[in-house]
Amino acid sequence: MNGDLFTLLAPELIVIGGAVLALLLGLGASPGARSAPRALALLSVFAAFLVTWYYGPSPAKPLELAGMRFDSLAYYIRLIALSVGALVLLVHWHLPHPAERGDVFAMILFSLAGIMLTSLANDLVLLFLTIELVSIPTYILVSIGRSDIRAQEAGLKYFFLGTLSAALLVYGFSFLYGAAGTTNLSRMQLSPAGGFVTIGLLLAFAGVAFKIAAAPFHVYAADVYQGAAAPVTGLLGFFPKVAGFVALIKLLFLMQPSDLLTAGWNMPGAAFVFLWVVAAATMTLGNVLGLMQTNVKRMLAYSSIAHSGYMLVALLAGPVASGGPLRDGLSAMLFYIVVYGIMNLGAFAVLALIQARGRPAEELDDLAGLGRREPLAALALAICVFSLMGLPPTAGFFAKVYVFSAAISNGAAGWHGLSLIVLAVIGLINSAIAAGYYLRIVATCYLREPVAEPIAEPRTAGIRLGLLGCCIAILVIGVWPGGLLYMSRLPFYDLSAPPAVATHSNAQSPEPAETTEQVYAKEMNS
Amino acid sequence: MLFLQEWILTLLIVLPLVGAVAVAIAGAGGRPLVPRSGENHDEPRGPRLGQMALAFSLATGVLTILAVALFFTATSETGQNLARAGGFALVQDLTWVADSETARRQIDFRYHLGVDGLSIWLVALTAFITPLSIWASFSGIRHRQREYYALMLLLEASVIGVFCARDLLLFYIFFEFTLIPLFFIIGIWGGPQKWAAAGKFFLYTFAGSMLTFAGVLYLAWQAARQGGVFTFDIDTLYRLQLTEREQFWLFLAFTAGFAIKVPLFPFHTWLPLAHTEAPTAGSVLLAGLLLKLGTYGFLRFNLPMLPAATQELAPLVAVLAIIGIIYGALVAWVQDDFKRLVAYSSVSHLGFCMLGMFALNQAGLTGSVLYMINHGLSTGALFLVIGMIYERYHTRQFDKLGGLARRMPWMAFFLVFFVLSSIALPGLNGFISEFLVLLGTFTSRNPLDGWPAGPLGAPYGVIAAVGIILSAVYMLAMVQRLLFGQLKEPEHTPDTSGGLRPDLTRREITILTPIALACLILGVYPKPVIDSIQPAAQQQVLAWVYAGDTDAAFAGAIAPRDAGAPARSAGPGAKEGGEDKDRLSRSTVGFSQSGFATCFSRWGEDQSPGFFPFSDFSRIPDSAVPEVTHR
Amino acid sequence: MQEVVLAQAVSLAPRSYAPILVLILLVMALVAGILILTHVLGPKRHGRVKDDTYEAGMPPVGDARRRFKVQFYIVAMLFLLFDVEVVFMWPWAPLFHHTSVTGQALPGGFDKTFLLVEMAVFLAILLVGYVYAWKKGVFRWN
Repeated sequence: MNGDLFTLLAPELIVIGGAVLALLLGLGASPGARSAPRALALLSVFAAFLVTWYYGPSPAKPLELAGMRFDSLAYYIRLIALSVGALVLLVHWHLPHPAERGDVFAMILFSLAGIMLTSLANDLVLLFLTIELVSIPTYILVSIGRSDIRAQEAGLKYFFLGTLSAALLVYGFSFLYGAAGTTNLSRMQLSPAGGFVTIGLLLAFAGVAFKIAAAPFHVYAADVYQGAAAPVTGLLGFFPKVAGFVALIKLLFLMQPSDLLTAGWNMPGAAFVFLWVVAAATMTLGNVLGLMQTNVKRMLAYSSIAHSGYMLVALLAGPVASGGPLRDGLSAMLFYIVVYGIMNLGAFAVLALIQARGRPAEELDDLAGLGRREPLAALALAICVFSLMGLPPTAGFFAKVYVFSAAISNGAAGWHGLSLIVLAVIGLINSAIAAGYYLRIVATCYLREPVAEPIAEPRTAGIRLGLLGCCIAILVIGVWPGGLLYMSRLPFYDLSAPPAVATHSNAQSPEPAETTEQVYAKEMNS
Repeated sequence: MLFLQEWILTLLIVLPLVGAVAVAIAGAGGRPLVPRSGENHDEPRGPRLGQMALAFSLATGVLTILAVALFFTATSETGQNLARAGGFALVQDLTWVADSETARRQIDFRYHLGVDGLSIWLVALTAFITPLSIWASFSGIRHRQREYYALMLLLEASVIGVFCARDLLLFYIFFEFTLIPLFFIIGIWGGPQKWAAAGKFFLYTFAGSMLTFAGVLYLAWQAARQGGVFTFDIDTLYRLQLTEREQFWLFLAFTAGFAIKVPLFPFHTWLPLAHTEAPTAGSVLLAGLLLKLGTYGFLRFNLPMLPAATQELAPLVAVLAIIGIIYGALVAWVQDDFKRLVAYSSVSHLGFCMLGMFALNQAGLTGSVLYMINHGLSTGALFLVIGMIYERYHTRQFDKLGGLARRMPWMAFFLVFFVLSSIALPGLNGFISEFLVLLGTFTSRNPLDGWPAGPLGAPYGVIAAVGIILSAVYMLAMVQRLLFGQLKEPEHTPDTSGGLRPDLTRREITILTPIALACLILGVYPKPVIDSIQPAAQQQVLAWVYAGDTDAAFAGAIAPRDAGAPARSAGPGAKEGGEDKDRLSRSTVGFSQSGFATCFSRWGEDQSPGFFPFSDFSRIPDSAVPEVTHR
Repeated sequence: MQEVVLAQAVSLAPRSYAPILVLILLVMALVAGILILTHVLGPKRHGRVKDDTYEAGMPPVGDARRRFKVQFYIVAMLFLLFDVEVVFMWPWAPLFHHTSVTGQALPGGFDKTFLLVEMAVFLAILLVGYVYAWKKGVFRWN
């Protein structure tokens, strides 16, 4: 019996096992059983983290098995997903009604397992399935336990648009399959020149753009963020985004000859232009529309859109071998996404913590005078918002340093490079625009007199702990970014390395790589 | 002692930080962190918190005195006095972020601090002004004192950090961080339009510095391209080879951030509002220190790093500066709010500062740096006096007040004193710097004895000089309207609550006296200051500005004795061998004093002692110029 | 590897499509026969209710926004889910057959024990879903 797969997938299996158990425990009638899911969820995330940590990054040659690829990208994504996932669980600690605890925590864990599997997927079919595994639980989380009409609208909107994007994604994948004749990502060496490749990539990008809330597929974000409960919104800023960006990375690597990492991405011109325009439009639309909001959740929704734009800038700069980490857009993006996930979660955790007018704070007015009434919560919000703004000494600042450094430092080679510099400048101008609404949040907390008497909900140790974790992470990464930078640099090394396919297959089956077509053709001829 | 030399700048940054945390914690002690009751709950703790903050800032001040002393006694390895040689002293250089992934290092962020003659005085100014502002806030700040004093100390720490940073990223971090405390200081304790003022201040400067950020990153990339390491170390960045096109764009990028901070003419619109609405101490720190971050940025980065663009664009900057001088003065003249008047006077004065800097010669630069200090002293003091008036009368309108000299003789004395200092009365500090700035501007194009020709000239000086007359006009008009004539006070004033008297209290006099003394000393005997600014301006700025200049005449004037002018290393290859030689040549750019000395000797009779009692430019003996690196 | 596995599974399939054609013809004949037989043999009664489109009694004409009981949807969805998931067993069966008959592991080292465990896990997950639906009261009809 081949136990390798079970061993290698132990983190995912632990998380999924935890989810299944949480689901079942949540059905129990006794109060004890009903409060078990959250502890169980946290425990399984910790266990999965420890196992992942124990395994460490992959050896020199990444391992390919059963449509999955165990490499350092997967290692990094697993680690960040599990660490941010633990914070997400803490922030959700007091959210659901006891009767729904099992459902909520199981859904979070399923989504988390989805992210981890997305990072492993090495097959178009598996990639599609794992992305959906991330998304479908979030559809449920958005509307679960909320009778509010807006929440219902949000859930429905999110679901239908999500389905549409899934259709686009799978349509695009079918073109890629048509061009390559295989669904295995390692074996699809696509030529960027192909028409099928371009169409397939554009369709797949469009599908992914929905997951990461990039323009022009961003329109749902504000409504969904507003409708969902604050902790869920914090989750929405991280889980689907990670899955989407990981999928983008995997798609872009399809056209990457393994030795061509010095020159950034090798992709069709149309795809570059598409991503460039999407990045610029995403940043600009997100920030300009964010300026017009009075609802903090909507504001942060638009900020989430804008941050996707910044990450696209980094992604577009691409993996570059020479020049070190500050030129490497890929690691910049991987750095940015975890920082963004934490600071966004922190901001929403404050919103979840603060009650005004007897309901969770949502409007700017609800936060007025928070600095007086709840100094610690206001401080935490200020840290998160300044980090979103990119002010030192927070993690957000270094995230900006890496992202824009990657874009600027790839800006020499012809129009391609110059357009990256232009994009970086657009991004920096956008940071200044964004400061306008971020500052309004801080100003409302500290500069205005209370309107709605905001108070922190008592007996919410879970959220408080999660919030504390977010703030500490933001400040620690802000003062000492070296550790995370080093980690985010790991995937770079073996994404280009040739896989060690044969190491685990049995000796008697050294089958040469044959595409399905060839096999079928042989069958038909015989 | 060596330990102290290395760590004292860190201590200067950390001490106020510790103070901020201590004040924040002490203020929260004894009552729940989550207050539920109404206002004024922290009222009774006020004085204690204020005194605590004052103690911390005074301790920082004492440390600064020590730092200045250490700076002046610091010697290089061969026993050269670094202060007189224009080098950096009190250097601390630690690795902050560096990747250990390969044997060859690819990124290198450094925690690199150091001061030279340009920055030590700005650090001193910061440590001097901040405790006085904190002390001056005792009567004015009556609510939310805990946050207030913590933020003041935070601001002090970050401003000192800006002036000490020797790593561009570190500089930028401190530079950006100053926004946060000042935003809150203006926004919470400001006047009626405080939100607008705080927001405008924050967003203007933030928007500008975002473009600067692009420039910073581009420079780091160039460092990586030419030297193989992504570094923000200023010494390395100085040696980059940049094409003129790159320099042009970088100059614009850096100018975007710094010009808004200064503020240079078309970017000044945030300043009057911020100054007017800020609480007294906020205005003092804003005018006294924060504006200097902009000029300091120009001095440290634009000039030495982008010499070609600087020489090319200097006339443009100078024109903007002159427009600022004249425009600021004219607008100040017609104000009916005297705090706003002083705010516009800052626009005018900072114009002089920029003008002198872009004269690109020794007199102009020295004057410019001195101007930063003097403006910090006199305008800061003016804001203090105005704040004291405001606390008593709750108005800043000219037409509601008059004849105050009768009611407040002490105040009248100080106001007149600082106004005279501000309009550059000979004998007071303003005169020296203004004179040097104009001297530099006039002689910029026609230098003496083989100095390279600067970009400015007499026409600039002539027009700028009009600003001096205008400043006398509006400042004296203010004095006349406020102090003399019929006594005019709003009803129910002066407000003597909170331990105030109609005239200045002993506390207020004690606050203003040191500033007045400083103005007097700098006006009568600025030699020690100038003597340290001048070689630093030469070594750290001018040597780089003209480094690529192949002008033969120039070569004779400031060329180092051995090699050519500090050669910009030509990339990775040249780096190996070039490094040490560069360092050497850079420190040994012994400027023969002839240019400056002759200039002054024409004013005076002979070379020694110089014409002016305040400084003796002719007496920098060749032996004082170091032969080796300052590090 | 996947393609190879698939190819081997395909190789187990019949080489000719003739039996399928026969099957189709048989099915068509059967359907036609039953229909004809019931038409000929069955008793015929006419009435208002009997002549309706749906003998169940559902009125075929009415407001388009008529409400249906939500259970219809839930049951329909559950049916779809389980139906589709059971399809997974089809490719699994020939592979398992292959491994158990030949005793060879599939490429990648997946032997029959692994396949058995894999199917057990799959069925366990299905079972959990079933229990969950049951406990949530999906099958309670009132």
